[in-house]
Amino acid sequence: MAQDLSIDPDVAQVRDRLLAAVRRRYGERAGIENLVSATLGGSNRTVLFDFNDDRASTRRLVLRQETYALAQSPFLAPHPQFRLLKIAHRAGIPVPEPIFELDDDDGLGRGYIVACVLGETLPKRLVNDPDFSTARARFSAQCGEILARLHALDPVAAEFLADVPDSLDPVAAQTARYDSYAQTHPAIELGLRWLHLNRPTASKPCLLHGDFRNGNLIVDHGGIRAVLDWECAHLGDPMEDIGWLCTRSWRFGYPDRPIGGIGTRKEFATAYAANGGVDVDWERVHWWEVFGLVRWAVLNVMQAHGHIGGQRRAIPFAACGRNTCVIEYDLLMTLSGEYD
Amino acid sequence: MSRNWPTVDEIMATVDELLETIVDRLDERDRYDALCARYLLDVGRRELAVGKVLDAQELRELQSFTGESGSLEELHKNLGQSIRAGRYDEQWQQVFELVLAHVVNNVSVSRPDQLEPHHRKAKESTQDSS
Repeated sequence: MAQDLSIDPDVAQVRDRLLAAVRRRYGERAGIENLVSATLGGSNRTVLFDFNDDRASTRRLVLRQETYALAQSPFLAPHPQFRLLKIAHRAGIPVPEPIFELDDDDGLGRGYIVACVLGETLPKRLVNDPDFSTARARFSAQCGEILARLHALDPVAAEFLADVPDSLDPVAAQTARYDSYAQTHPAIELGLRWLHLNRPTASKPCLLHGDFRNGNLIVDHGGIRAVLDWECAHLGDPMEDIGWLCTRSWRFGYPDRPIGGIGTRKEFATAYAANGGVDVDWERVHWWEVFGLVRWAVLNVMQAHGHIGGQRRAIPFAACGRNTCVIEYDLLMTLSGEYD
Repeated sequence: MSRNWPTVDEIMATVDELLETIVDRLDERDRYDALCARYLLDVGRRELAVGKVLDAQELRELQSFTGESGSLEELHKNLGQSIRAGRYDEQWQQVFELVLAHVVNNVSVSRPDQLEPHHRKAKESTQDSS
């Protein structure tokens, strides 16, 4: 995951400006060291660094910089992300502690700094490594507890998300993004048509994480320590977050374990209800799982579009383009009833 | 083109050999890129082997299903627009099977290991006979 500063141009570019940003806020004796760049993310660049000043001991922090700001971006800008992190942190939901937000004077673009939370995020390790057996035993229940607490928050606090396309109409939001990439995928069209024809009635909107799944959770040997990646948050049906969590693409080789390739629906629903959540409507969740497969397919089209168009050229994004058909396969097999 | 050595398959195999040789010496991010590159080479090899056959098959199937003529790209685009407009709502199962067959073709090129055994077997027998 880490790269040496001396060979990482990404980190070299931000070092001086990050130091200046820290000193503007914490004084001239503040310092940074041990910068490393994390793996390229879908919408953000992540740089880890040690922060110290003359009062506190060294603290590991994380810089998140926006890297995808094109039209039809499905991702929230850093400012509302940072506001959400503060809301969640205040509510006791496990998130990295928000430290400060970048501003124009920092010259680092849009982004923010949060505390580093140690643990593992790689799904394959979480589903297979014997060291995480205790964490796996608690995983579904912890997911249920965290989502129930998030969905119980007063959505008025996140009213700034009301105009996000996904808050207004998630199917229309996916359709608009898909159309903007000007690619033809009849399987995605079938998925969108099915969603349109089978749409459930509207529900009372809750604050949704929008990307709550195995891969966006920091887990240590004892369980989930932090929920990452709030750039898809919006207001909507709480079953949407549950459907996305259960979407087949996030089962990582264990399709019979719908909660992140680790746990059962029953474990999740029991914990969700015990922590104030409503009874899980699994029929509704199924609709959102289909939606999740359409959404994930569209996101992969987006990555290939960014690569081919040159805006975000990266080998993994090229691979995403060829991964789209695999998601379409899962989508059609789910619609046919061969996959649950 | 067969008079040119190495053949395109051999060129791709050669590049893949290089990636395989160096992948474990790379840091984690470059290693991930190299693994993605090896995956893309695999896709390219499979597409070179069967892509034209699959395209011709899909064109025939689309022409037969829609009764339209045009390029594969045009017919796919028309099919997508018709699905969105609801023109196939009454023929859902038929259009579903057509689209699934084409998705299975694409997966057989991109990630054949992800196909269920009955789709994998059907693909292998189709490609053997072509």
